[in-house]
Parts: sequence; C-alpha cells; structure tokens
Amino acid sequence: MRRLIVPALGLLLACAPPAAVAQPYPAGSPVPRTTDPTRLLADAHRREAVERVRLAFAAELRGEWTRAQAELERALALQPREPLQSTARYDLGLAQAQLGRLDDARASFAQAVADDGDFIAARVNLVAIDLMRNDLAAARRDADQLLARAPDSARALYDRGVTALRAGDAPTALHDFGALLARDPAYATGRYQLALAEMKAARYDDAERDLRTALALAPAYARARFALGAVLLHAGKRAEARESFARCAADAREPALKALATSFEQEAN
Amino acid sequence: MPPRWVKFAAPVALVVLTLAGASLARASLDELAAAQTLAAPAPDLLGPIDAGGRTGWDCAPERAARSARVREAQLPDETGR
Repeated sequence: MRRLIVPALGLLLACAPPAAVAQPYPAGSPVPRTTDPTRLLADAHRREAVERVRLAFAAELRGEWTRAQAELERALALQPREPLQSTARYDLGLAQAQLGRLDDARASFAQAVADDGDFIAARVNLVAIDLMRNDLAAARRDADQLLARAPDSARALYDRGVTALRAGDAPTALHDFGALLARDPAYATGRYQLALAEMKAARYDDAERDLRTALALAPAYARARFALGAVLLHAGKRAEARESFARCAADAREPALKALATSFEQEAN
Repeated sequence: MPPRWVKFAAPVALVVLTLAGASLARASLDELAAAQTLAAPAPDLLGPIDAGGRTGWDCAPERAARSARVREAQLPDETGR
C-alpha cells in the first residue's frame, strides 16, 4: 500500500500548477515612452499641478493660507485637467475666504461650479460665501441651484432655509426647515431656525412650541432661551419672559447675549 | 422771574419726553428682539480637498454636502452657546 501512496502523491504534486506562475502582480504606472517635447512638458505640468495641490492641501490643514494660495495659483496657471482644476479652484476659494478676500473666494467657487456642475461641495461653499458677503440675492439664486442639483442634501435645505430667513421669505424658510426636521426631529438648531421662521410669519404659538421643543432637546441653548423670552414678552407673559431672559443670561457664553438678556430681564419687569 | 410760556412748556415737555421714552423703549425692545432672533447661524465652509480626494467622490466635504442625514451634513450646532 505504501508503495502505491508515494507515487500517487508524487503524481499529484507534479500535476499541481506552480504557485509562482499564478502569482499576480499589480499593474505599474506606464513608463513614459515618448521623446516628444510637447508631451513631456505636458506630463511635467500635470505632475507639478498635482504636487502643488497636495502641498496646498497640507498647508490649509496647518492653517497656512497664504502659502496655500500661492501654490494653488501656480497650479491653476498650469491649466490642469478636470477634476484637478475645479478641486484647485475650490481649495483656492477656501484660502481666499480665510484671508478675507471674499469677492475672490466667490469667483473661485463659482468657477469651480462652472468647471464641474456636479461639484456639490463647491456649490455649498458658494452659498456660504454669498451669506458672508451679505449678498442675499446671490445666496438665494445659488441656494436654489444647489437644492435643484442635490434635492436630497440636508445641507442644501439648511442653506436655502437660512438664506430665505435672512431675506424675510418666511414661507420658504418654513418649508425648508420643516423638511429638514422631518428627517431629524432632534436637531435643536434646526428647530430654533424653524421657530424664527414662525416668528417671522407671526405664528407665535407655533414658535413658542418649537422653542420649547428645542430647549427640551438642549436646555442650555441660550439663543433659543432668549427667543422664547421674546415670544413670551410679545404674548404679554411678562413673568415667564423675565424668567426666560434670566435663564438665558445665566447660560449664555457670549458676553453680548448675556448683557442683552440681562437688559431684557429688567425691561420685562 | 421766568417767562410765562416756561410754566406751560415744562409740563408739556415732560409729558412728551415720557411718551417718547416709552415708545423708544418699546421700539428698542422689538428691534433688539428682531436683530437678536434674526441672527440665524450661517453654516461654516466645508474643508479642503486633496488632489486625489475627489476620486469617485470619496472625500469628506463632498460626502457632507450630499448627505441626506442631518448628522453627516456638518450643519451648525449652536446649542452650547
């Protein structure tokens, strides 16, 4: 029997495929096989643009905005292809915003969106810059386009809601914050924004209810406590309003809000 | 001796100033409430994107921008302020 097993094992081993033959190797980067100066220059520019965007990204993470801006401007001068071009414009917009160059930042984000209409993060930052520049007409236009492109985006709903609220468009703000809260009823800041829209629409009872809900979710929410005091004061509930302002003054971290709440507490007496 | 009109002017001025002060207090209360409550928090800018970060849209800012979920969308949270 042993005489049979040994040759059988030998036969099996001989038939098995050699492991080294089946070893797969990852495909490497193609070796440049051109001597064409134009193509070599284009390749060099592409690699330089990628490297400069990487350097700028690292600089932005460190808060070195001037360095990042310089790298990105140089990268864009090399006219990189998509998606690197819109990415560089997006990062440049961030650096410009941090350096207080809001008009330039807006132009960079707008150009990133023009380069790639599906670049939703660029659209989001475009609206944020519009709001920083207090250009409510542009913010509304850009927020409408953002929501049209990304109708499921929570951020798009929030951005248009804030834009509408600042512009005094209570119905749109009510719609957008209502839709946002339908997804997450426990989002206290959204609940506060909805209450502001209700106050704008003179729906004070709804505003009081939503502010109380926001405060049940976040009892130390000083700004919501202040708004509740204002609603109660409007309803003639001076004692409750006074109590709300006093609590706001105790909870507020911002000195201005604390001082305002104290002043209102005295006014409510 | 003060002029005769001063005798009448003083009480009238007092009444006018009292009424004006009351309306001013009321107006400032409303205006301050409006200014304070209208300070809706604007969302922060989404963060930077690396040169290779947008491959397949697998980058944090783009994911936050597109997310349907409130908790993943990097929305403002000012409940502690």
